[in-house]
Amino acid sequence: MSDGGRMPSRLRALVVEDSPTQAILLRQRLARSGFEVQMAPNGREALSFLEGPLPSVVLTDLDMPEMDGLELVKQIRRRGVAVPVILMTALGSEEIAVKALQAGASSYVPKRNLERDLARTMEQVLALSRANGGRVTAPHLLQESGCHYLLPNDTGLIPPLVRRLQQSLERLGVCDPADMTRVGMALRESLMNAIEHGNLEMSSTLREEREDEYYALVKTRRQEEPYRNRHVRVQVRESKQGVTYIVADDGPGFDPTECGDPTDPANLERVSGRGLLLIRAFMDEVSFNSRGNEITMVKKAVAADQAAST
Amino acid sequence: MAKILVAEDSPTQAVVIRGLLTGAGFEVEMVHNGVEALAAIQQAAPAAVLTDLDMPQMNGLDLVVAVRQKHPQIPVILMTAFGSEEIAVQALQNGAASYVPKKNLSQDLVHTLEDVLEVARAHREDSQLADYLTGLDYRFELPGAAPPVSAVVATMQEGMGSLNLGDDIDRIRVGVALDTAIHNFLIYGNLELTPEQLQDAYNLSDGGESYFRMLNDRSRQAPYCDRRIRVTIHLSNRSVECIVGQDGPGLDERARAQPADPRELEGGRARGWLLVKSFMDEMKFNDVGTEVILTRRFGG
Repeated sequence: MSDGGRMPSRLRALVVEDSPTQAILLRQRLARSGFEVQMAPNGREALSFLEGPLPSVVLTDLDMPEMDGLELVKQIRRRGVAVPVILMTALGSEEIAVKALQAGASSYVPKRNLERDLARTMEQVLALSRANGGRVTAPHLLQESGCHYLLPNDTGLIPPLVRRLQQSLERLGVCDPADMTRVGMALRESLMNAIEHGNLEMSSTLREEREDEYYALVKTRRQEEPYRNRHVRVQVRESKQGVTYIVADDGPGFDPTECGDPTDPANLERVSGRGLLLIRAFMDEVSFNSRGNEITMVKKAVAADQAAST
Repeated sequence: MAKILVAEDSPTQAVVIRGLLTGAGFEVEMVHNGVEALAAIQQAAPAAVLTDLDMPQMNGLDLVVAVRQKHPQIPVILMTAFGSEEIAVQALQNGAASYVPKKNLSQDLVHTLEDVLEVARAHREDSQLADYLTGLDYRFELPGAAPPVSAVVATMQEGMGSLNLGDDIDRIRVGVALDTAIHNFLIYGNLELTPEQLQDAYNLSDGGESYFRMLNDRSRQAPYCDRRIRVTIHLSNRSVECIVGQDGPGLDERARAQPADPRELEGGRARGWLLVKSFMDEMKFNDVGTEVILTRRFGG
């Protein structure tokens, strides 16, 4: 049914149980399942064990002298001890069990069903905790994924973001290596545009004529109102069929038609509109919102493209 | 230009190394052993540490271990010599980033250093970028038979980690809630088993054998085996939202009953939803019971 059965051999369980007969039974049961077992007769002693090397899981009774299971769960949470707690519940302890589940326990097993349910519940919790180490991943089952970034006006963040998005393209197999570079270029241009022309309202004419002055002004504006509080929002949707990137800035927006016809070779030589020219050349679909401060770029998977044209 | 800290006890070697590095445009600080190297790092962090292995007062291996512990972001590069191979291997296992044989220094030192600095820079940039991540989305489609549920849950938990959502225990609890919700939809929804059927199979004292056999058999029969489970996950800086949906006719009232009575803890029935409800802030089914939305909020 489920896949959660693999259990590494040297997991350690801390069992908190005041009844000696129950404690012995639990120790045997867990030892049979391959656990190293540590016993504590109440919550207080359990807490002192938790000051040493952490077990993979704590299994606790609820009704105990000294410190009961609910208080133990609360203390573990309060102290920020990173260990999952499983409760053993009994008739009459339901209310307190619900409280402990809300207070930070990770699961529970009714005491009278220990034989049937204990191993399964421990497996579930351990499979979901770090103690289990290596995990299976399911990229082939992932139909679609996405990410969102809110960036300050720091062009130093562009290379790692482009790298990250290229890694996704590679993983999804959306395009070949040459196209990966081209998509990376288009992304870089759109992010540079959003920061420098969108948020910082820099003119490309200045860059064409006096580059030093241009970069000095970029530096100043990054610290100045109203530019410094502006951000770039990046939204990405990725699937095997293709990828959509939306890059939006907080600037006043621009008129994309002003950049000239990107298919006109004369425009290749101009600094202004160069970015847009590259973006239009490298992406399959490019559109803007009406204010001109948000660009949407689509790159379709090669296979999806062919399928659509036949 | 990047500053390189060089730990080398031999004065002649030190001169050669300094010459190579300054020639390539690096800023260089020289020390004689590991103890001095650690003190120098405290003063001003270099871009990388280049170290001899055989030195008095803390050798190269001990320096590698100490730097890794106290300054994990600074890469250490070893200079190896004949006779120091074993200790070099140990140092590489303990955290050194690369090595250059001393006899090839003039040929290999500069480009080895440049390669390491490039990787370290990329790594630093990546972790800076991570601070500005505000959301992650995933949409999975799972087969009805033997779905890798834990892989879906692990993906969500990793995403929670990337967004700094909750601590380890929060991630386990949200993980248990999602895991349980998916399994409940598989059993009650896709396989159309009733809580009573489950309870009956569960109550046989055969250690759960007939229970699991029942689930297995069904998940291989039509129409059940063709049904899929859809899981959509939206993570932001403040919340987790999981939407679990399925192809079957939907969960009926009993299968989605929220156990109002804590005594449900003692029964197998609807065990899952109590856990789910305890671990999430909100649990909402659609009218036909083909979908549930789970929400958990964090912080402010």
